[in-house]
Amino acid sequence: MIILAPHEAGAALAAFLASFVEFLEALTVVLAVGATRGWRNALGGAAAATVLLAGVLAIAGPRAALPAAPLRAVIGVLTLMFGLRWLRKAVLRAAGLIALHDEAEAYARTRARLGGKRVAGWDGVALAAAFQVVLMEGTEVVLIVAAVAAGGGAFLPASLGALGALVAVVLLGVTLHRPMTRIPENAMKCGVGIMLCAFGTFWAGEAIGAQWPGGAWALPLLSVLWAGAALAMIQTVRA
Amino acid sequence: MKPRKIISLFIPEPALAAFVPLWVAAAWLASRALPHMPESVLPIMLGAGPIAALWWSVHRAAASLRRQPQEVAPRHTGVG
Repeated sequence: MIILAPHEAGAALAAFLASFVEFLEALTVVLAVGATRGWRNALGGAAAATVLLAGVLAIAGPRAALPAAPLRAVIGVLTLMFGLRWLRKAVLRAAGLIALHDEAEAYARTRARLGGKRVAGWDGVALAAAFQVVLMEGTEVVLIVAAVAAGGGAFLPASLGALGALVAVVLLGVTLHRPMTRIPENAMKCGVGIMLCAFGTFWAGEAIGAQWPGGAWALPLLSVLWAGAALAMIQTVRA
Repeated sequence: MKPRKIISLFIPEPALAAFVPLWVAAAWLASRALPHMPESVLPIMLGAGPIAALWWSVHRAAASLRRQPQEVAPRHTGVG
């Protein structure tokens, strides 16, 4: 039985949740491309972008474990900034101040933009649309995997988390053939923001010599602290 | 993907983005300048600073959004 350290389990979970919501957004567009311009183009564009991103991750990923303190401080700060961006938006959405991401609307918008003109053989516009969205959302996944893995050398658990999310989203897409509108995307984004903030705080602290109580077990405590702060922000902003 | 788009992935808001590295640098300088500082101060400083900054940023954005409400209404509120 494989037992993961707290930072490895956290990296896998953060990568899974973040990748799941990013892949979900990409799936919506790929489904719209497939339904309007044919599945060959939608799947071809998505596959090309996935191969490109997997190549980048395979080449750069294992080198992402950076032991030098200054580099770990930079990664901690970047992870914290990344997490603050996610959490800020999720809090404002949860408080009802900005609109929630609507997969049904994104699906309808993409279908309307692409129209129903099917081209025999490969269709450049449809290929590019599927390629672009998978590349764009996938780049964010690569950055998240690198961010949560680099500080603690948890590349494998984080990659497996992202891969698990990809498999789950592909299975959902194959089974349901329509955009997923009932998945609580904002709650998942809030969770990702909380975990990224906790990781960023922890690694920035480690790099500058902070003695975290409980060592790596401070990570779950930091997550609880950030979660409590996020909930308090939602309540006070909503009031 | 344009470089600006990649950079924007890391920037929550200019003031918040500027605060984080400055705060971590300040915490590091404090730990160097005050070697007898209790061990617990640095973790507290690192946890409290970014939370306070996010709190300020969220409330500032909320006040601004209330002044200029969006046309698109959310489907439902609450986390998720």
